[in-house]
Amino acid sequence: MVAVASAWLTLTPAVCAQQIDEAKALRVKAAYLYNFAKFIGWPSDAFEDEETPFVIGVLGDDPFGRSLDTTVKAKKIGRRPVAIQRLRWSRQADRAKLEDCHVLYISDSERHRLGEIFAMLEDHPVLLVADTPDFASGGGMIGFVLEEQRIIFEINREALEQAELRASAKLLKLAKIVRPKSRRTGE
Amino acid sequence: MAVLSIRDMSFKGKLLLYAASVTGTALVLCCIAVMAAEWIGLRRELPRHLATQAEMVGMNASAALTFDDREAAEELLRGLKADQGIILACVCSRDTTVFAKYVRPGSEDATEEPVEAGGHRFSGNRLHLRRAIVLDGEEIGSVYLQRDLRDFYGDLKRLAVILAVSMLVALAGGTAVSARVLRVLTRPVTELAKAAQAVARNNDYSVRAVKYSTDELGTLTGTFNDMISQIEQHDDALRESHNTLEQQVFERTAMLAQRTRQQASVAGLGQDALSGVELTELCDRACILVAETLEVEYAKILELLPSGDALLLRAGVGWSEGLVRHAVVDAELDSQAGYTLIFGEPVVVEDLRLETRFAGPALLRDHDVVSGMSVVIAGQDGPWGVVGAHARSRKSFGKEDIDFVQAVANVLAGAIAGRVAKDTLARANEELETRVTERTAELSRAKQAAESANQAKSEFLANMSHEIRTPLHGILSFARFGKDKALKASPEKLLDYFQKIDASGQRLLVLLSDILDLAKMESGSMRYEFKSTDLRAVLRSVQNEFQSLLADRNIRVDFAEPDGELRVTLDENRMAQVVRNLLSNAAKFSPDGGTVRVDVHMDDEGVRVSIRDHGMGVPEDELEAVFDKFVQSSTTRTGAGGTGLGLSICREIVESHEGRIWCENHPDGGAMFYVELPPTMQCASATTQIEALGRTPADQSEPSAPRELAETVRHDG
Repeated sequence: MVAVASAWLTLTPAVCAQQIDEAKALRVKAAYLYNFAKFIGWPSDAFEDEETPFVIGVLGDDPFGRSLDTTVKAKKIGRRPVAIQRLRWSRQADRAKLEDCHVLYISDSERHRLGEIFAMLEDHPVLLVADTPDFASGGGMIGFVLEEQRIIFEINREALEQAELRASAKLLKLAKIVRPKSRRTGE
Repeated sequence: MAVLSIRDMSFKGKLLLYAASVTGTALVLCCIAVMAAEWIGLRRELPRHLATQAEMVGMNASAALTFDDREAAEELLRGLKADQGIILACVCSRDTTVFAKYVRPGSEDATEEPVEAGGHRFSGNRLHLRRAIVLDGEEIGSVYLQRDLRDFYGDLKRLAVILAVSMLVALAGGTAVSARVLRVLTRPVTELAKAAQAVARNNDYSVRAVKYSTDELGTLTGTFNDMISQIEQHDDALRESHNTLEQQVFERTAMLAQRTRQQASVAGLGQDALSGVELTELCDRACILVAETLEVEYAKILELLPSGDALLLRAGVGWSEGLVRHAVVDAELDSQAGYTLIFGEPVVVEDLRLETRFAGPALLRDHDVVSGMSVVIAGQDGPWGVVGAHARSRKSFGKEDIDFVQAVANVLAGAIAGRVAKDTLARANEELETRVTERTAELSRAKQAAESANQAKSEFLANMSHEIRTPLHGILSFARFGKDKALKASPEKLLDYFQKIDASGQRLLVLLSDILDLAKMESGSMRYEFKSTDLRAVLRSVQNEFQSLLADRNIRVDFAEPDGELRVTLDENRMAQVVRNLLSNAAKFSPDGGTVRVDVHMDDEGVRVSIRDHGMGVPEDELEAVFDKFVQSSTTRTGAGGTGLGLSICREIVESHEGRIWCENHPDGGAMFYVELPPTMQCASATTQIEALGRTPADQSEPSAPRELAETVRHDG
């Protein structure tokens, strides 16, 4: 999977622009989900110990399919193995697990209950990532944006700070920093 | 050449050169060390520094690389612009594909070169380095940096120039300081050299070197000054000794001149001696010479008297009147002369009053002598005398003086020896003359003897010719009578003639036989045949022979024949001839009707035959002479007749038998002839005896013709 990612990374922007399609975009996003973990610092109480698995959760309809699993397969962050959890809001048990995720990808299917999710995970160190437009400025943390055929991301620094997550300067330097339009959208 | 020029440099120059070279070498080494350290340091430091930069870039670029943000990466790389040395920088993905690149404007030709991650490489003026970009333990790519080293080399060059300039300045400064310090060091040496030069050039030993310090150089200067002082002293001493030497040479020359004069004097004296000046005169002259040459009051020559215990004052100068040729000195240890004589060596007396070797030389004391010397005059057998020189004042005699007096003494000794030799020669001449006289007398005696012998021979020859002529005359006369009267004369008459011829012939034959025998015996060629024979038989046979022969004169031969054989080794014929001769002689001197007595006596000492006649005997003074050849007894000459050879022949034969024959007069008248033969001798030894007498075997084996003839004729007769 790394080879695939690398192969992709070697592509020239021109090629990238022409051939970018949904599947590839998803693979890049999957890699990004995992790579964010390297540039974000979690508070120490987010993990029980040093070997507690790093959990990436996907809420709602999973757009990645197998590509996410292949991306993180056998990968470790520090000494932590990476675990994928696919969750459904509708399931009570899944909702309870939301707090245990370290990175949570909120599928576009859940855009209508973002307020609920934000409220539920307020003060929990969970990195919220979504494809939904204006996600970051709308109270989310990192939102994927397609810009000039490239996938970039927006970061809401206030939301990160609220959740006690520390973004690396290097990451911030690459991201588009957005300010929240409002504290909560009620949709 | 360089070495030479350095060698010829001044001491100061050499020291300066030494200091400069040491400083220079040290500085150069320092510079090299600094440069090397700088070089090594930079070579080590540069990659480290560049690595830090690469790591920083890598760290910062990790996110850009992770999230594929090329622009962000390139922007990051542009941050390296601040470092002017970096001309190429790349961020590469895991497979080293260039992800982002930065090229310094103006160095667009720079290209990326392969370097392994974590390593670096120098190539030419560039340093290449690559560092991995690690994210969360995972290598996600690498950073490549290329640095231009020209600024670094430029820095090094600048450093080198600065060091070189500093070094030169330091060297100059150091040399300047050295020069100042060395001046302190070399000044005493220069001064010393100057002083030494001054001394050497001008021989001025008063020069002193200035002493600047108390260190080794100061000591050296001090020592030099001391040395110069010593040389000055030695120079003075040398000059002084030179003067002394000149003085000595002068004195020595004067002495030699005197010596030459003395030798000339001695030579003059020697000349006098050679030219035959009388010894007394020579002694006088020698005394004058000694006194004048040695400048002493007294000179003397003493001669050892034959008695050996006293010396006569033979000649002298300065002594009291009447002493010369009269005064006598004891040849004892008391006197100086005696002492000299006994010890045989020159004696020198410094002061007679202090002398201890001899007691009291009265002669010298009487003349107030103080100093003196004396030497021995050598003679033929021991010393002849003494020469002396004496002074009234104290005077010391040197070796030259002794030699001079000794030379005078030697001249005198030579003259004396010459005189002795002359005497000896005269004596030898006298002796020789005596001997010549004696010899002459002897010779004249011998001449007389020879003349008388010659006379006898002449007489004998005259007699002989008469003797031979007489029977020959008889033979010829009677033969002529016979021839003339052969037809007329009666047979009786003719017979008488023949008988007379026969008698004369017989007589002639005997005569000739005798002459021949004698000649043979004289020449030593007579042959004898010795063998053991009975002497009686020989005697008897001759007796018988004569018995009939003498019967007409009525003379009887009385032979007292002994009993038994008389064995004697002899030549029978020769011994018979002896007996015949003696009997014939005896008969000749016997009166008619007389008796001839033959006796034989034999004992251990041999056999003796005596034949006695009763004739007139032999005059006493002719008892020995009758045996001489050519001599006849005066009595024979008067009447009896004969050849005068018979007894000579007898003696020859008997002596050949080692026997003895002699003649005595019997007290009762008549002569007695004795023949004595030694006891029986062996035939062999007899033959040897003959050989010993000088007869060769040839003489014996070859009988001479005349002898044979004579024998034959006699037997026939």
